[in-house]
Amino acid sequence: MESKAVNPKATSSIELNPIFRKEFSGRMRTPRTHTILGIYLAIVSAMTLFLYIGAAISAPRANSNNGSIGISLFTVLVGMQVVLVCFIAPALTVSAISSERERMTYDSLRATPLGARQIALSKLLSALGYVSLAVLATLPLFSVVFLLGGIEPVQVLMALSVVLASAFLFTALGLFISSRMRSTVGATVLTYAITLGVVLGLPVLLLFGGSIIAKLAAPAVTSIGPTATVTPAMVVAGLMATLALSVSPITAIVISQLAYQETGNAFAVAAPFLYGATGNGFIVPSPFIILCCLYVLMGLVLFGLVVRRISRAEAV
Amino acid sequence: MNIIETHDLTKTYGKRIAVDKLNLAVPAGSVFGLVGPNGAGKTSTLRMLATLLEPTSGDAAIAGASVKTEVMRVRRAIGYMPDFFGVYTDMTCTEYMDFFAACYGVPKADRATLITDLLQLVDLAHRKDDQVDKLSRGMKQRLGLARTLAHDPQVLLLDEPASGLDPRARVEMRELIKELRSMGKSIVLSSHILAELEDVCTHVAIVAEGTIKASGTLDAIRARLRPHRTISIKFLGDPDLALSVAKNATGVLDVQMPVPVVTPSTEMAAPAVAPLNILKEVHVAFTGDYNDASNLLRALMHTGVQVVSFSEESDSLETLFMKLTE
Repeated sequence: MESKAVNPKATSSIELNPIFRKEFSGRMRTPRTHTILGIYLAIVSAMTLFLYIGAAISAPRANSNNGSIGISLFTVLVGMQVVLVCFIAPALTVSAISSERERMTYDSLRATPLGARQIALSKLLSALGYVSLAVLATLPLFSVVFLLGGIEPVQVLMALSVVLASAFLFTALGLFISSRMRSTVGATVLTYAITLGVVLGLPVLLLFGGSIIAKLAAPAVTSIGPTATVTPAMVVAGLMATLALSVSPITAIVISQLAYQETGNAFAVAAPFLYGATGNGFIVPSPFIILCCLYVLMGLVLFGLVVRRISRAEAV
Repeated sequence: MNIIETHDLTKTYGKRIAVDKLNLAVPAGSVFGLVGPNGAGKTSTLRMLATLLEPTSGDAAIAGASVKTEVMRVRRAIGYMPDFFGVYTDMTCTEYMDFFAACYGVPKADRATLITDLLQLVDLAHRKDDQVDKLSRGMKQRLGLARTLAHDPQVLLLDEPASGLDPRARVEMRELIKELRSMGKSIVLSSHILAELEDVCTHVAIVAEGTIKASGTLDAIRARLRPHRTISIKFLGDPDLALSVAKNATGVLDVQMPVPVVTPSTEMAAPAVAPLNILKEVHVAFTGDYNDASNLLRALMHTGVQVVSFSEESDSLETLFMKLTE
């Protein structure tokens, strides 16, 4: 009955981390997982088909227009994928810790020598593994886009980076809230409220704030567009607007793609309110770069807080 | 040698002191029972020992490792079973054991044999392929105990291991604990069922309001609470003679005679039975050693008192607990 070795780290180097293995295989065993993946693929496929048929009907003979159809299809597909990832990713981790508490398995798990970091990382990676599977499963749909043309590899990389950064942040967010709340239902509600706030609410708020500042600074400016002079207040407004377009994956990917098509530069764009028409150009990193940096940073902070929470001794 | 030592171990929740400067010494190879009312601090103590709760002050060492600074060493030395614990519903017993064995770093090649042995130990080998959530409460409790043994720990911390079990499952759990002790494990357990602790524990600590009221072997606690023992003697014959002999024996402090014992047989035969044949009992407050006790028995029998039983009475754990926590 005696065990020969008691070194979890040694074991984890030989085989998969047991929590990751349990979470991932447990997830793949349930019909719910396959249903979600099926619905996800059905929505994206239906949308692709709808757009393709729509484009074919509206321009049946315009073969030269295939490129623009491809670009539209790509933008919509990526946008949809981002939205779906934003809402599927937190669902995969929102019960990761709270359900351990509800099932009363949390203490048994914490008492093992795996440690808080390994517990949190396993749960995060198993969720990211599933998101990656969902993203990979949609790749055949993108072949339609490549058939039509108009899309360059760098655009695919831009889209992929936004999707993965979003998946990382929102799985980390789900995990963080799950570690803080006792009930999975409460954690789910809060996670989706925050996700909605980040994806939709925050950009609107920042854009609104930016436009007010811009209006106060230069009453002649009525919308995002060229300006004659740049004042400090307008720089603030411009940065706020840039941030607004960068905090939401939907706007970040759309603006980055449009800017790339317009300028051919994947890494920088002109800031809103501060267009360089008069020589006062204010160049900022492309929104997808800002988003990736922000999301990865925020995701790491949240992950650190989860580790701290798990390792921190809690009250009975 | 002590396998667990606590030094002024303290835990507070806000202003409430759950554990107050607790100093415990658990000898290696012992079964150590933590006894106390609800809210006495038993679970907090066990959770601190299991490194799940950080002490507010003080420290504890398990197998020489500090629960504050050598968390991983402590975790490898202990197997912890919480008072309420759940199971993963989507696993079989074998998968459940395999998961925890992997968490504790047991090599994959050794796990199949280990799991078979452990399931046999807790008498669940016949349910190895069943879903864990289909097991009865007692079986889950035994599986939980098997899980704590996956990495062959030196120390088992069991919080209310018999809680919620039916009488048969309690007996089985008790036997299992005895078997684990015979395997050389040091076991710390808490329970409200004092009679059961008395049966399995070699040492106890009576805890109330976060402090230890008494600690040690049951005999040592009894001796501390009552400096003398009580010998109960049941006999037939002349009570005055018996009292006189007992009072003059070495080591006897006092002799008292409660009301005569009336058994159903004596009751039925009462009209025809002479008073000398009624079963009587005396309680002797005794400080002597075993030789003195033997001499007392010999003296009684020598004078013609028909001794039916001669036994030392001891306070139950329940009595001690009530005395210490009143």
